[in-house]
Amino acid sequence: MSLLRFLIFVSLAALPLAACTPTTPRTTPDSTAASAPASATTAAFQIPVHYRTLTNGLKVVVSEDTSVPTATIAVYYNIGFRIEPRDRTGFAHLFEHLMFQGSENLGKMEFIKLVQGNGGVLNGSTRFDFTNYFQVVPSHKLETILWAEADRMRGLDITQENLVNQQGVVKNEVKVNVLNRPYGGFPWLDMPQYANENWYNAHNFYGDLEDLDAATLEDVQAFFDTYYSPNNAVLVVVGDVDIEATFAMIEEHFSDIPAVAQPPAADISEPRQTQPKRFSKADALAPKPAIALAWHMPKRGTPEYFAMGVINQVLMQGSDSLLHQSIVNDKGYTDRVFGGINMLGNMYNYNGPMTLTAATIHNPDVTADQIIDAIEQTLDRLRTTPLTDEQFERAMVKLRSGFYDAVGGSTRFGTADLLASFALFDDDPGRINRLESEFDAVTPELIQRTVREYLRPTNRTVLTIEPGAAAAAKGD
Amino acid sequence: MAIRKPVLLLLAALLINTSGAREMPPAGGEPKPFKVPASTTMSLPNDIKITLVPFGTIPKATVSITVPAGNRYEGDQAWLADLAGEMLTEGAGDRDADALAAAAADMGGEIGVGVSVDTTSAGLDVLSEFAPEAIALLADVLRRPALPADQFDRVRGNLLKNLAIARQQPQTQADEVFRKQLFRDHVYSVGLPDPEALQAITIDDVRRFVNDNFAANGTRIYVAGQFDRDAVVAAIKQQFGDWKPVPRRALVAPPTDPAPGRHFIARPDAPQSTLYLGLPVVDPTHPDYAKVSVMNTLLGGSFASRITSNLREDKGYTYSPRSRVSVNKQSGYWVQTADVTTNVTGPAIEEIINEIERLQNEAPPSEELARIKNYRTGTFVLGNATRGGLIGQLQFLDTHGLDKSHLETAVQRINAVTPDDVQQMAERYLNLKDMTLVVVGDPAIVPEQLESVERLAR
Repeated sequence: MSLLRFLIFVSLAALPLAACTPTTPRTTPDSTAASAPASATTAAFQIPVHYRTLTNGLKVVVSEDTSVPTATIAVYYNIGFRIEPRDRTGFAHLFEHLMFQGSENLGKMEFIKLVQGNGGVLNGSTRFDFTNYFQVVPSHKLETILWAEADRMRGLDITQENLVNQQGVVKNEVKVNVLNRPYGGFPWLDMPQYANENWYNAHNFYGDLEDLDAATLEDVQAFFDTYYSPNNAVLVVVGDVDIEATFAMIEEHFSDIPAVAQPPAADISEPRQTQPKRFSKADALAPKPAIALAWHMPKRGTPEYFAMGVINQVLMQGSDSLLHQSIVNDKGYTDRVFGGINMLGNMYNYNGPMTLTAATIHNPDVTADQIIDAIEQTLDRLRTTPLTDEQFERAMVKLRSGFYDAVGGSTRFGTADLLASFALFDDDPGRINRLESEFDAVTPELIQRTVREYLRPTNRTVLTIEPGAAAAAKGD
Repeated sequence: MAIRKPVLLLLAALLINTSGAREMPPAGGEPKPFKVPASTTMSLPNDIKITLVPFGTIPKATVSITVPAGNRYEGDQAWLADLAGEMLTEGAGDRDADALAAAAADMGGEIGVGVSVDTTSAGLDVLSEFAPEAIALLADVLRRPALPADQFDRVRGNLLKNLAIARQQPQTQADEVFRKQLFRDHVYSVGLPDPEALQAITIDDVRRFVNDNFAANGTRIYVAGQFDRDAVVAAIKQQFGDWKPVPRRALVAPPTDPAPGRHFIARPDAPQSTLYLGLPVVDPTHPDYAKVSVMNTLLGGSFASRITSNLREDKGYTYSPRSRVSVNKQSGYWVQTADVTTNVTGPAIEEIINEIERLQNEAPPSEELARIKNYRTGTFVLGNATRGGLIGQLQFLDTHGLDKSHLETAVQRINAVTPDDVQQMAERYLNLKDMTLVVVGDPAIVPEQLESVERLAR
C-alpha cells in the first residue's frame, strides 16, 4: 500500500505485479504517465460505460471487456491527502494502510490472503483527492471480492497493536522512499509544499514522523466515520463480467451500508500567484544538483486545461519534446527532463489546485539560472509562434497512443481510474469517451494564450536541490 | 476496538453474538479458460529469428529487437555496451537525434534501448498502422547508427552522472557487493564501473563494439499486438534480410557453487539498513526450478508470504521486504531483500532465518500452498495479457533455450508442486551456511548487531 507515485499506467501493466510492495527503487524519479483521448478515426474503440447510483449514494460504474478472463474491482473514496487533520500530516495515507488491517468478517491479513489466494493482485494508494483500493481477480471471483470490499466499507476492526504495526510500516515506507535515498521527495513530494500557499495543498502528504506516531484509534474512528461512507465513494468493475449480474451483486452487498452526511467542502483554493518564487533545499545524499519548475494549472475541465494537456506533450513528454531537444540534445545540460501534470497521477485524476512540473537532475557545471533561461527561451517560442500543424498532430498522436496504453493494460487499472475519477469528480464517467472531442477543440491560438497566461514567470515556482553533505550541513 | 459506522454498531455486534461465527466470503462462480496467446516463429537464412504474436483489442503494436550485444561482450570495459546503447539514439540513417525522436513520436512511440548482460534491445511501441515503419526505424538504429563523435562527450557525461547517482542508492550498493561475492570474476558480477574507467572509453571503442557485435546471428525480433502480418514480415525481410553474421564468443559458464560471505557497507546515519541475503540456486532449465520458484513465492515472494507477514505485518520492521529468484543464462540465485529500521537490523535478520528454518523443518499446510499456487497462476494470466508481458515471456524462453511448450505447461508445473516439494526445496537449496549476507547501514549501530547473528557463515 503506498502513496503511489509508482502507479504509472504503462509501466505497472508491464511489470510483474508486485502488489502491496513498491516496484524496484529507481535511480531517478518517474515521469507522469501520458494518457489521453481516443481517436476520431477509431471511433469504434469506445469504452462501455454503465452507470448507476444506489439509494445510499454509492456511485457504481460497470464496464465489460472480455479480452482477458479477469475482473478489476476499484473503490475510490473521495478523500485524499489534501484534507487530513492539521496536526496529523500523513494520516490519510496511514489510514489507507489500516484498511488492510481487518474488518468485521476479515481479520488481519485475511483480505490480502483472500485476494491473492484466489489468484488476484491488490493494492491501494493515496492521492491528492481520493484514496483508492483495487484488485484484479479471475472474473469468476468477482462476488468474493465485492463482498470483501463491502465488509470493510461497513466497518473496520482495528486494534492498537495493528495501528502501532502500521505506524512502523509507514515510517519505513517514508524512509525507503524519501529519507534514505538521493532526491527522495524531489520534486513530487517537495514541490507542492513550495508552490502552494493553502495548507491543504502545501503540507507534507507523506507525513512528519512525529505526526504519524501521534495518531490514535480515536483519530482512525473519526476519519472512517466521516469519509468512508458509500455516498462519498465510487465502485468500478471492469472486465469479463455480466453487466446485470454485477449490478445485482453490488446491490446485494452494498445497498444496506448507510449513508453518512458529509462535512462541508474545505476551501482548498489557491490565490493567484503574482511574483516568481524560488526555493532551495539541501540533499546530503544527492551527488548532483537538480532543479524543478512548476506552474499553477488552469481549472480542471476548462479549454485552457485541455490546452495545457497538449502543451505538456509538446514541452516535456518524450525525447521529441521541445525541452528535451533544447536542454538535453542542444545545450547538453542534462540527460533527461521529466515531469508533467500531477506527479502523483495524471491530468485526469485530481480535483483541485495542481501544477505542471518540469524537473531535471543536471550537470554541476551548469547553473540553475542557465536552465531557467533555456526553458524561458523555449516558452518564448511558444508565446510568439503558433504550433505548426506537424507539432500539433504529433502531440495528438502521443496523447492517443498513451490513452490506448492506459486503457489497454491487462490489469485495466487505467480504465478503472478514469471511470472512477470522472464519476467521483464530475458524476459523469462517460467523459472517458469524450476526451477526444475536448482535445479537438484546442487551437494553436488557445495554446499561445494559455502559455502566456499560465506559463508566465510570475506563475512559476523554482526549487533547486543543493547536493552533498556540505550543503546539508550548511542548511542545519 | 471496533471501528464501524455508529448506525451499524449494534446490529453488527448482535449478529456476531447470535451466530457466534463470522460470515464467510461467497465462493464465486466457475472459472473461465485462459490460453496463452498463440505465437508463430520463423527464421531468416541469416539466423535472425522472428516471433509474431497477434494479440489484444487495442490498436497498438510493440516491436522489440534483441541483439547479442550485452555487457558480456564488452571485455574489460565495463558499461561499454551501455554507452553504445545510449549512442544508438543520437542519430541513425539519415536522421539526427531530434529527427529520430520526432519520427518515433509521429507513430505514437519513443525508441527505447535496453542493455542487459546478454543483449542490447531496441523497442518501439506504436499505433498499429505504423508497425512496418517502426521496423524500418529500428533497422536504422541497429544497423546504421550515426554514433556521432561530437555528441559522445555529452552522452558519456550523462552516464557518469547516472553512475554517481546509482552509487548513492543503498540497494545498488548492496546488490553490487552481493553479486561480486556470488559470481567473483565472472561477467555476471559486473556492477558499477569505476568512473575513471568509464571516462577512458572513447567513441572509437563504441564504434568497434557496435561493428563487432551488432549483427544478424542470434538476433531476435518480436512483434506483438494488432498489426498487418504480411506487411510486418515483408518489412523485416527487407530491413534485416541482408544483415551479415559475425563470430560470437560463447558464454563462459558462471560459477554455481556457493561462496558464502558477510559484508558490511557503512552508510553513516542511515535511518534504515538495506539487507541482501541469498545464494546460488538452479536456473530455469533445471527440473527443480518451478518448485523453487513456488517455494520462493510462499517464503518471501508475495505480500501474503511468510517473511513479509512476519517482518512487515507482525513486526513493522520494514515496508518492502521481498525475496526473488533472479536468473541469467545458466544461472539463478535466491535473494531476500529488505530495508529495515536501523535499530532492528539484527532482529530482522534473525526473523528471516527463522522463517527459512521453519520451512526447512516442516512442510507448509496445503491450504497455504494452494493460495500461493492460485496467486501464481493468476499473475501468470496477467503477465501474459499485455504486449510487453508476452514479449518478456518469449524473451525469457529464448534466453534460456526453452521450448514454447514451456509456457503452455507453466500452469501445470505450478499446480503439480506439493507441500513436501516446498519443504524439500528449502532444505536442498537454502542452506544457511552457504548464504551471503550484505548489509548497508549505520556504522555506529549495525556492526554490533551483525556480530550476534550466529546461524550464518562468518
